[in-house]
Amino acid sequence: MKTIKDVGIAGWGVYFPKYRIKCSNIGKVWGFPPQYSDGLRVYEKTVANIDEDAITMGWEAARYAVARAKIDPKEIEAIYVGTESKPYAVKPSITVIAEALGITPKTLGADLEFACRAASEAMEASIGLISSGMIKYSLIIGSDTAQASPGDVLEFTASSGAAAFILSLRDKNAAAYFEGSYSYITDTPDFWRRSLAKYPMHGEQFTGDPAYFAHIISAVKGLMGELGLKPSDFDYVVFHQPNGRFPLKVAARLGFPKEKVLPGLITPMIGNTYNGSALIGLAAVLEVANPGQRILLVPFGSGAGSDAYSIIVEEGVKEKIHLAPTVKELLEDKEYVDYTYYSKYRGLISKFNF
Amino acid sequence: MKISVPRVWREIKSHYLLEASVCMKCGKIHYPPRTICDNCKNHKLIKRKLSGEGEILTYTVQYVVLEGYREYAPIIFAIVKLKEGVNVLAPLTDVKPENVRVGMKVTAVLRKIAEDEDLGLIKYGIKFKPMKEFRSEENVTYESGKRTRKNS
Amino acid sequence: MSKIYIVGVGITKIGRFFGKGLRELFAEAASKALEEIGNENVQALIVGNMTSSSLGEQDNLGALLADHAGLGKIPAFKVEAACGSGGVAVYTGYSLIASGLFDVVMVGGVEKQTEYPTRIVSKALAQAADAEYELFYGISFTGLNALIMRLYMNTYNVSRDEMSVWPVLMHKNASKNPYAQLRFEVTKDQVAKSMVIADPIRLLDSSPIGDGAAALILASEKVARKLSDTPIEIAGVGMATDHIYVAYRENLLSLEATVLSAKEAYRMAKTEPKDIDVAEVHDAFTVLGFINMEDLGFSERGKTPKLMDEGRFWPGDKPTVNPSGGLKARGHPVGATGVYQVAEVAMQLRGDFPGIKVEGDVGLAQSIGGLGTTVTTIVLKR
Repeated sequence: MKTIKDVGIAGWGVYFPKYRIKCSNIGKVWGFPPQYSDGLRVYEKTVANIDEDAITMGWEAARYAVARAKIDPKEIEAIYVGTESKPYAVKPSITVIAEALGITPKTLGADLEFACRAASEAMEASIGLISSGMIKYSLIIGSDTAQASPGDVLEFTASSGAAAFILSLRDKNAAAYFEGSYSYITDTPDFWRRSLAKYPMHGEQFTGDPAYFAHIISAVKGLMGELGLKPSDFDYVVFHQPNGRFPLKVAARLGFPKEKVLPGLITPMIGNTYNGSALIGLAAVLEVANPGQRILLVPFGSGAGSDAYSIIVEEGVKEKIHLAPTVKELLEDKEYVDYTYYSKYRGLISKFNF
Repeated sequence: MKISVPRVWREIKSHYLLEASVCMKCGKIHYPPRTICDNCKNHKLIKRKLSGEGEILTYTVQYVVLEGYREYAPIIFAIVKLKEGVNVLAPLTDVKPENVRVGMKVTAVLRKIAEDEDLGLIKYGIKFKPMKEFRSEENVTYESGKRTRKNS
Repeated sequence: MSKIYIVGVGITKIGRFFGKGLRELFAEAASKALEEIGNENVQALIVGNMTSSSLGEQDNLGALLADHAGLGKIPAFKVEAACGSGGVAVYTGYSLIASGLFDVVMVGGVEKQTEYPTRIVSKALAQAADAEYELFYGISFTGLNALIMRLYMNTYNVSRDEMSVWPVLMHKNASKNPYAQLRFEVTKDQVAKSMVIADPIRLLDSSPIGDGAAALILASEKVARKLSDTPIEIAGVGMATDHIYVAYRENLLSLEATVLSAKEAYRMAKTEPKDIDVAEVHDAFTVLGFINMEDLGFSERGKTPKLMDEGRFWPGDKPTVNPSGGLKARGHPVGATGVYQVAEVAMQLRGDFPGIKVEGDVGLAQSIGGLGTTVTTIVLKR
């Protein structure tokens, strides 16, 4: 899909909590074989503090996006949050974040759900809204305090984090712009969470070939077909990263060398932030890419679906990098907690009733 | 229902945005906001967001906490002097009690203040966390999954 | 203006009385006071109380207590200024007689703080602070005072050990007071090692939670001598308020409301700090005890801990401070405390206080609501 007018990225922001738990700790508590998590290529994950949730993290990432976009928050006319860990099942997260940024009230938006790719759908919708001329700026946020049942293999990777992007028409302020996108979805139940369930269920091996690989590969091939591009036309490729292995595997199948994947592969250090996953990877790449280079961004969400975007980096990117904390700076600001504090912070042990 | 909906709602801007009231006649900044200037008794005041950046004047680590805040114990409270010269009382977050110092530079972030258990409202507001001033080194990379130095 | 006197007092012991409610406690204190005036009638009742509504589900307190104390269908109402309700009740009783509307009124104070576990009582007491911008965050009253204690110690370079002299003196005095809640002595070491509540405030820096009731009979000059042989004159009264949001104040190491109310009380009574023989000051926490002494003009800013360590203000000195044991050890049934203080000073000047006796003609009582948000200062003369 291409737009009549080019849409660009005016600003981006990333936030993930400073607390970390080593995956080996989790494995030890639940009796996994030693070095099990090394096989997933994830070494530690972020742990949200007890007073954080998808709303507070989304706000902080958005605050940094506003700083990089160098606009008055009031100019933002749309705000979306893609999340699968909404603090309220019914009550929008966007309104709290919008008020806390000073955006309201002439605003449109909603909380979206499509597992880990909801934020990406927000990105697509925003591209449409902006290129049609309906609005000038849109703020999209991917934010999750990912859930996993204690003892489930998912617990090694389910972590907390957020990424935010402010989109606008491509102008000289832009850090990058969208060359085109392609979306591919089917009803493939590889991972889900029933409405009153605390933790999700997943199909283990089924989450691989029929879900992650099938949809990502189809979306990427679809995009390259439409735009007439080959793997060698891309300088960086950022996939949805549920662990540190899948992105390298799908890259190999598609014909991308691993050197193009590693700069945007952040999950080994922070775990899978669900809606933050691919977008945090994109932010990490924007912090090292040069104007003129081409990035392939491929978020994936269980259920299942994938989007593929071709993004060209612009001149405006370099001076924006240090207007807010970078992914690298956030990676370095860390403090370890053990399983007991992780359980308390993440509500695995009782919060109330005492 | 223990947390009042209208009370939380009407104070959203003063809590989320640290919105103060400024007297249009004498310029005095009031936080918490008010409708009558405490310096010159003028009734025309406008709203202004405060910066959220400041330093700690004094603090306490409160171990015995109130009903409704049990899960946050111990709570560190501080009086922070903001850049504008206005003082604000608020909790600190993301910092260990033993690392808090008078004079420490802090910045305001949006966090959960309390929850009305499982069914009631979640009260959001600001807390202060230590302001980090650092730039990561250029030749440090995380591509291998661990912190390594690139060969220049 | 004609003079106003205290002609009768009645106080209960302070403690945890699960078996007595507001009405029983108050009736006890009221009858003792009435006995002192030969059971003559009083024309009105003013009651100081903070938590009858939040912890006792009881409003309309004045009428309830007038009824249960056998006072008849007289004008009766409650006044509230958080933990300073007692002082405000005395101030109000004084003003009712000064206005000429009444000749004899009863001023009472009563508090029940033991109806719930600590975490719920703490929340009720924290309502003395700014509900929307202080209590909103879950700060307790102790937390608020702890902010001031750290600032005091840092600014004046006072050590933990030096601060601890206040509770030591209070407990020593209370050990002689049959009405006190905590009658055991403590050492500085015990104070410093007691459980931390809100750093740096420790358990032995804080006044205890307890129940109690106190009553005074106030009379105009016209009738005072008919009711008592030893009437004590209320020579001066002053009250002032301050910004409730503590961080908004310019000077966090002085309670301006104390300074203002004391100035007015001294002026009215034609006295100065150096004339005061005995003072009952509002030491809800150690740090407040020291700040009060400085605000009332008894010592220089920041120097009180060292002075007290050297022996100033102990029994035998002028002024002797808190011979009752103060809020720290005599106890602090919040809304009643201000009435206790005036009753104790009156007894000192009459010569019949049952604990440590102080020789003298002029006494002072200071009652604080919140963190210096409402302060009442009363000067009494023999």
